Amino acid sequence: MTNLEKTILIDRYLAGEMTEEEKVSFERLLSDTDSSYTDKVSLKDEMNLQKEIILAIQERGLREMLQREEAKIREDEEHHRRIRRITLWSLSAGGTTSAIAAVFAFMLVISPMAQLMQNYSNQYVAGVEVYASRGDDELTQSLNEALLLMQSDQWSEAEKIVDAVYQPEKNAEVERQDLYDEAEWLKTVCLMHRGKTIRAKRMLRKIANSDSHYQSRAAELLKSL
Amino acid sequence: MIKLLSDIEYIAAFRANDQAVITAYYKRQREPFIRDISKNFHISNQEMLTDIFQEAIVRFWRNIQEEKLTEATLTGSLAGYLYKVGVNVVHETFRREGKSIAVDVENERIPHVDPIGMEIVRGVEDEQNVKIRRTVTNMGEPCSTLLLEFYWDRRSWESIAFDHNYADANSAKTQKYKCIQKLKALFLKP
Repeated sequence: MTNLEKTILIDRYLAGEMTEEEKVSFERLLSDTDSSYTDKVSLKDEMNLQKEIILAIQERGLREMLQREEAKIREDEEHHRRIRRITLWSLSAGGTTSAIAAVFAFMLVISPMAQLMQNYSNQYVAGVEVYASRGDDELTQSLNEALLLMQSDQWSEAEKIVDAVYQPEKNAEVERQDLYDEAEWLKTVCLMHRGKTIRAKRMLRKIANSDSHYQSRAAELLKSL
Repeated sequence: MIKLLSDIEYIAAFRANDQAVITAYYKRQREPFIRDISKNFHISNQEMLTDIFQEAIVRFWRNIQEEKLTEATLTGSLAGYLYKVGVNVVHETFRREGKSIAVDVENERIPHVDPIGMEIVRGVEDEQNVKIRRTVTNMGEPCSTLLLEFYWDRRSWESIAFDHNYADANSAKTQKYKCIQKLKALFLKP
């Protein structure tokens, strides 16, 4: 038997490709310690060597596969790190841009508008008369009280009283529309004084589009703003 | 998608060289293994931790191939066995580098490992086997590709012959025998 023939025989045995008959015959040769081989290397030793070679080939395949897998994992990790970095950068850049925009908006638009509104509210409360002449019911008294508080510069307290009278959701139930209009207007004036420009402007637009007693005044004020 | 297998199924898959399952197991065990080894042995070098994990997986695979670890001999968890193999790799690495081992004894996870496994993971490597592995790692073409594609990738002789321009499957197979014969000749000492 040539060396190549032996290699083929061992390979077929290890791969389980032998018939039952071939297998029995091969195993008999394996256990033959008498060594009929001229090269004096037992078939068993040769088979073990061949087995070890095949295992070494598979181990090389495994190592290469694990290295490829590891490279992929690292690539994925790097990819995720990059996305995180970009996201954080975008967020901080976006945040900075928004902050700058807010500062500019405040400086250029909101701040002068708030100043105008406050001036107007001060002038308004200084010149207005109390509503005593319109009746002495509870609602009129509340509005008068609010107006007096505004004139004595107690705007937060005044606004609380106005809020109790001005309840848009109960508008339909209000019997005296004129008092509701007064409360709505005073609420707007309070907002203007407290620098709540956006909400005040929304109220002014609402009044300007209604049939309130203060409709034209609100429209005029909106134009000046 | 690979479903979660039992420890016994993993052993069978490693024995059959099921590449998809081995890869899935590698991914699944990588993070906890590296975290535990890093914590218990105070290793922060990621490169070193990855090398230890890869070496542990290879030895783990070899123990299964050599039937030192089987479904019958496994008494603890497979992850615990892998960790113990890893601990031995760390010990060897430190010994080779002449470093003393700083182990966090309080927190070290000592899994139950059967005596056979312990014996194996501590075993001294056969010098001949080291030589064989080195030779196989450095073997040239066409043997390198041919043997890897057949024994590791388990490709059919027909497809190997087609891809590498052999006349037919038998020609490719004969070339494989010649390659094995060449490798064997390097180690057979009459």
